[in-house]
Amino acid sequence: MTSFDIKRFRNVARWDLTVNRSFYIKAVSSIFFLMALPFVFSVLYTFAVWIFTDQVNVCRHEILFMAMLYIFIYAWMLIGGYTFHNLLTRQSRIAELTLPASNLEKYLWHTLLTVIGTFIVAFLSMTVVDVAQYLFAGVLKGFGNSHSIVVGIFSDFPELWEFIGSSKFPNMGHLIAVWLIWYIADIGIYVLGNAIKYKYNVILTILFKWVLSMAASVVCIVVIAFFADSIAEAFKTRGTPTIFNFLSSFPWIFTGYALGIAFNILIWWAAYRFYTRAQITSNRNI
Amino acid sequence: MIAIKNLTFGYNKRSNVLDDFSLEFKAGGIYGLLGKNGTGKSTLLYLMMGLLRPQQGRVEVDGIDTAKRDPLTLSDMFIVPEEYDLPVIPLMDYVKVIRPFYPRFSEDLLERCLANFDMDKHVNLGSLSMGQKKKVYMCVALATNTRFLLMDEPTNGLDILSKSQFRKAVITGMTDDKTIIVSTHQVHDVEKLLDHVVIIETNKVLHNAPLVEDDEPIDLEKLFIKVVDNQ
Repeated sequence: MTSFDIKRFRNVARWDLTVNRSFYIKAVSSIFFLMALPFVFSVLYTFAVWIFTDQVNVCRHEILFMAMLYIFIYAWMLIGGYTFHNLLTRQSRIAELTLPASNLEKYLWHTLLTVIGTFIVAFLSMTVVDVAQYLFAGVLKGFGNSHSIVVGIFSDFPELWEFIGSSKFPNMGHLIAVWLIWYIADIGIYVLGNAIKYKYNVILTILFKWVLSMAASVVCIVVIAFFADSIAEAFKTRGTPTIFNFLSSFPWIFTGYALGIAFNILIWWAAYRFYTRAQITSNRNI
Repeated sequence: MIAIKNLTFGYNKRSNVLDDFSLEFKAGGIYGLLGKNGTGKSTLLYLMMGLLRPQQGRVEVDGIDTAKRDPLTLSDMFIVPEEYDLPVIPLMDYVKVIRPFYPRFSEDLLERCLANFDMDKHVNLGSLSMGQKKKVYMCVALATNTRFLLMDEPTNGLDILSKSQFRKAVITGMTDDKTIIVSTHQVHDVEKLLDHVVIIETNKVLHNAPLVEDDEPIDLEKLFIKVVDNQ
């Protein structure tokens, strides 16, 4: 049995995008709507200020970008909870599970669509919103005062790289990489939640993560309390740690990478295992 | 050949729908799978397709365990469940995306089958009634030309004329190497079609024989009542 065949993988993609056309249209529209929300509010704000004060006050493009970025970071994670939308109903489970392709091909298609597809759609949505905000600001305040977010991102890349490599913030690049690895794992938690439970899985995953983070916080407090004396001693001799001098020390970075990669492997493998064990009988898989 | 070997399956821990159940479907012919309510006919079809995980035992299609959902095995099997949903897209778009998965897919067979039901291939699946969807899905199932075709209550929801058209459509799509297994309660709807009848109960096969005896067709309803009453 060939567990991965690129031609079959392509066929799975075509099949999924065709039979779930309406679902994907809704998904793309939802992402676009979420990304456009900050701009919609900024337009409302502009008109409100105009009506009440007679002044033209357009929201700065950096603020819009930050708002869209925050929305995207949370939305990307939650969208992981819709990875296996084909397992939601009994009928769609039959169609998905009897489709003559390997579990690996179907799993890879769904997860890649969640991780990479969402990113592409969000970026394209941001570009459309960017054009709208550029024109809006240009019309109201003149195009000399109007700035493009997307152009800004690309033109700021050299500065960003310089900032990442700067000696002022040692290992900043590593810190970002570790954060990204843990963020991908976070998406994986929602994917795993969807592989286990097909209904209400997003809410249940949020609750589960909340309980888990509370438990982790308690454990951290207990550990810190236990080592309080030696930590205080270290502060005296080495100075109070900041996020950069504390987290950037090599053992912490290494631990962050190692645990993050191990956790990713565990989460994505577990999601695959649950996916392969899916049955038609119920909306849960445990 | 489909071989069901010592299969045990239950939806909960208290009771099993199938208990140490064994049965073989030889290649070729139309099988009728009958049994009282709750004897596990639909469950058995799902287990054959690898849609359920047995607690014990296995189902093999040509020696391959169907629980593994091997793509090659799946490309030679198709199930028409009792209830299903079709995507809201034109039929030919649907055919275009499922056809690559079934190497023996026949568009000619699809057209002939649809003609049997007085239907056209240029329809949008979203605009069809439940009965029409059932006809279209059955035609797609026959057109996949898989060696094993499983149907769960295929005549439910069909009017009298459509039931007769259904029988004609199945005969149109039937070839010597195909095995069709029809699970049903509507014995009169399918008795003219069947070559073989299997009557099952939780842990045993009550009857497993060809439907023609001494060149005389058997009355399926009478046979069913006789077999079940003898238990």
